[in-house]
Amino acid sequence: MQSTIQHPETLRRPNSPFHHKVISYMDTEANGDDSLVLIKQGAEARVFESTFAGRKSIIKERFSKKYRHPTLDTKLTLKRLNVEARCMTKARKLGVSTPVLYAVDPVSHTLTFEYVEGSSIKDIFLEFGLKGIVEEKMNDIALQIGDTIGKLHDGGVIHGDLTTSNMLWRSDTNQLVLIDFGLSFVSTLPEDKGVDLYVLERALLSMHSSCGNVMDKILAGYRKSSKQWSSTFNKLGQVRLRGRKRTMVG
Amino acid sequence: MHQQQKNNRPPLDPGLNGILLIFYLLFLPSLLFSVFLRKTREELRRISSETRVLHQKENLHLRRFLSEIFLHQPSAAFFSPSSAEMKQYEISGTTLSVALFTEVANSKELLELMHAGTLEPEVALLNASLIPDIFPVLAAAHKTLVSKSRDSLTTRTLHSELVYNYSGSKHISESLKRCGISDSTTYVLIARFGASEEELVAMKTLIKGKEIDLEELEGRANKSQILKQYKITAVELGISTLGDAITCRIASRDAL
Amino acid sequence: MEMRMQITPWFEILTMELLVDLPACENRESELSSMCIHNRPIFSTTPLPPPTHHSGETASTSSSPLHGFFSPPSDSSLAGEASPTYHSRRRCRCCCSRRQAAAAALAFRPLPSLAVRPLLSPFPLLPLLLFCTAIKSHPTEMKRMIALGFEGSANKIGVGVVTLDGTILSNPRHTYITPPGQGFLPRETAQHHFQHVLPLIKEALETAQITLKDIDCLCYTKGPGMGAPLQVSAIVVRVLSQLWNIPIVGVNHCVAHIEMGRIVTGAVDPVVLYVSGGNTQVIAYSEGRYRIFGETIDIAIGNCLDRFARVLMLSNDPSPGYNIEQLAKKGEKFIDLPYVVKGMDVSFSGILSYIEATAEEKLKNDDCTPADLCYSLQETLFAMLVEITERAMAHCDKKDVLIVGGVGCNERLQEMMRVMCGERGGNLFATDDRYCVDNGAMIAYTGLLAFAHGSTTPLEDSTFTQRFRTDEVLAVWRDNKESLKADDTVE
Repeated sequence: MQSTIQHPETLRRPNSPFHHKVISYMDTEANGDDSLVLIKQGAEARVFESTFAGRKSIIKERFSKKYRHPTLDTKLTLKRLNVEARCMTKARKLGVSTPVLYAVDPVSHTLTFEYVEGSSIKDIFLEFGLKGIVEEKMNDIALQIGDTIGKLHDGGVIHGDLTTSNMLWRSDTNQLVLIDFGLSFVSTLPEDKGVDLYVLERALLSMHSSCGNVMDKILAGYRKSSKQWSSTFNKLGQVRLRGRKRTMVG
Repeated sequence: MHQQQKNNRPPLDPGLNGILLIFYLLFLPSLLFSVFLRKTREELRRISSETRVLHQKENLHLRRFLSEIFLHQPSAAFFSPSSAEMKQYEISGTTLSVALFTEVANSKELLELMHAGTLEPEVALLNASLIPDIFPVLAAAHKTLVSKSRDSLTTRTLHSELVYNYSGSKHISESLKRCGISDSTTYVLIARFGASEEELVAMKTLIKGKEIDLEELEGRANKSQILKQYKITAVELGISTLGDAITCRIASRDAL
Repeated sequence: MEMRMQITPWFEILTMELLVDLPACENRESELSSMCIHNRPIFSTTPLPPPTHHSGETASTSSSPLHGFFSPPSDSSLAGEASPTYHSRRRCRCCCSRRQAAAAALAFRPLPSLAVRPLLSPFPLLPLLLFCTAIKSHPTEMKRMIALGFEGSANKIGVGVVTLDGTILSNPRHTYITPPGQGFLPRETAQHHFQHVLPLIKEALETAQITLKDIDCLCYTKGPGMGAPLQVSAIVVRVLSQLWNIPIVGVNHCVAHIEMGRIVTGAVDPVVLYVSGGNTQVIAYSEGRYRIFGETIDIAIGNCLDRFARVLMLSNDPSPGYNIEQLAKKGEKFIDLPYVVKGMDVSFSGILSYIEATAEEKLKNDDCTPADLCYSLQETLFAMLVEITERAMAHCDKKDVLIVGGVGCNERLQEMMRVMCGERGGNLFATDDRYCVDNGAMIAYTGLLAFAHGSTTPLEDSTFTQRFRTDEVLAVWRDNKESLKADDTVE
């Protein structure tokens, strides 16, 4: 999804003196705030690459869905925009790495984020599937996924859409970055946490069955970081059973 | 037309020669210099990325040196009418001029002028101890300009809106008090949108204090005050800089 | 309890009728003598032979061929009703030969309470069974492959005859319709199926104008579905397979819907939205299987709609969903309802309980009309479905959508999906109620696909199960078929 090539101009690190860049008259002409490059058209948002006050940024525009009833559409679009901004900030408070939020615009339904250099976990896992698994990297990633979700859940944030395409791997620091909090909500119920993990498990099964049992490694990481491990895990077992053994009679 | 002009020009016109000479003398070195700067910048970036230790606080001298070279780009350094300390940022088509002052003696008068609405030119005066980095100010400025373009300012003026937005809180008077200046404030960040050259000069004379480089922001910021104002937790600092944490608060304020 | 003892279960009646009318059965007496139901001979006049009597024939089947006929549910509401069955099954160890197995399949008492007085009359069965046995001859070489399929997983019983190229020769169906405000219960539904299955077989064969020697395989719904109704088609298939000596193919109901949808619409590799009374799944083909990308985490969409129809006391004829759709067309006001999407999964139970709790109040206060409620419910539920379908499309990079299942007939759902596909540059494939709704032809066609690729179900495995995940089926025909399709287009 995102280019892994690192251009010297876009290389940024916290604590570096190039952390921000003064936009001079010359620079603005070459690379103004208005330049938008579409990099992905998702199911409910378009993602552009742009610059925000001199930093490379991602603009995510939630577009309206014509198939939906207008009232429902407006409600959902705004709700998800706000929820995403809120839960991302909340996740950061819990020590979960997410892109830095630069701006929220409820009128144009856009969010502006930091541009994270690196590829998605989906791409990494798909590559593992094709070229063989790099065991060390796989373990690191799985452990971080578990640890991250554990922190999030203990803080009462449910991501709501845990898939490998919603996780990035920051290439310079080898750090997991969670994105797309549009379906997130705040809850402390083990049920919600269990379903959250179940959604991830299903995504892994349907997409990365060739990568071996990643879910167990993730759960091991989750177990280490979450204090409410046992209740969540029990619930996950129940949710799994419910899914697999669903009958015709509701 | 072009052809004619070229032919009509006397080959050894002393006046034109003089102009050319001046042009070469003035601009050639600066052109060469800028080429040199670009080369060294890339080189130094490479080095700096390898040796992150350099950027720690004990290496302030080196940091100053680096920032001198990289952050003052040739165009800004050569054409800015004011001194090298004043900076211009471009945010969605509008410039934001920013300068940092310490040992400010006249904050009381400034405050009075501001309350009377007679501050000339109108500027935003921010409590600089809450600013660890200029980026959050730019994010607040962006937010301000967006509200302005939609005629939906919450506060009275564009510049008070900047102060309000920087606070990351919805409480207007409290925000202006905390993030703006008080009678006793001595460390001030001054900012103005779309300042003309005369206004830039006027901005400097408005404040009686010692102008310092923006790079000093990080070292001079009051960390504990920032943590309190923005409710930043210790775990958050494990994954984020202070500036980024503030930026998130500013951006997500209205979504909360 | 007293009543139950007196009533003869219907499958015992069927067994008796069947065996009495079996022609040219040389050692019937001995076979009958070895017949047993729970260690009890049907005809007590002859003594029980030792169980080893037929061991040569059934070397592979060490235990009862009925073994595993049921997958015992552990937590279902049905379990309570059906549990005596499993108890008695374990005792039934002496049914050995294939013929016996067929008879025992019938004799086997799965639902003791399923005993009905009106069924005591065997007259509807006799002519058909005579007809069936009379026309059966030895299989000869076939010109085209034909399958007979039985569907009876929910409230519809259907028998279909199809050829491998997807031509439907006949596809009669009968629906069990309950009074307004009532859903269909397993027992009554099974009774209904039993009453209608034989006339339907006859009708299907007559309409298709085929003889028994044309039939290559007998296909039936193995699952998922309600236990009792599923049992009817499973038993019928076991008996016919023995009578006619035709192999059996067990078919997954969900996969059958998908394959039917694909052949009818010509969709090549779509994301499938399977929406019916019992299932809500977003499915896409990947690596040899139909994989479920999203589904409901509680009740099915059709179930949600049906139960809502009961709240409004809408008619169940032709189906509650259809009546909701018609009423929704008159709705104007949009009422805010919960909207629950979790990743690629959806949840309907919250919406149902919300609307069940508030509908009466709102209608009483004249806040809205029943039409408004139908309209809002449809808009909300279908938006959720379209959203998860779109997510799955983005997730696995597919452009087309195929809607199958009973709820797939809904024109509003199709319209919304079409808009979404249009935005993504893909096409919507949807079928009308002839194919959307459960039918025998889809089972026959899917079974025939598997049969054509060398897959059959041995008698002892011809069980049925209430739970049968779509992704448990290895879609052996998909890869080959893809190449066949490619060849077709080249020509």
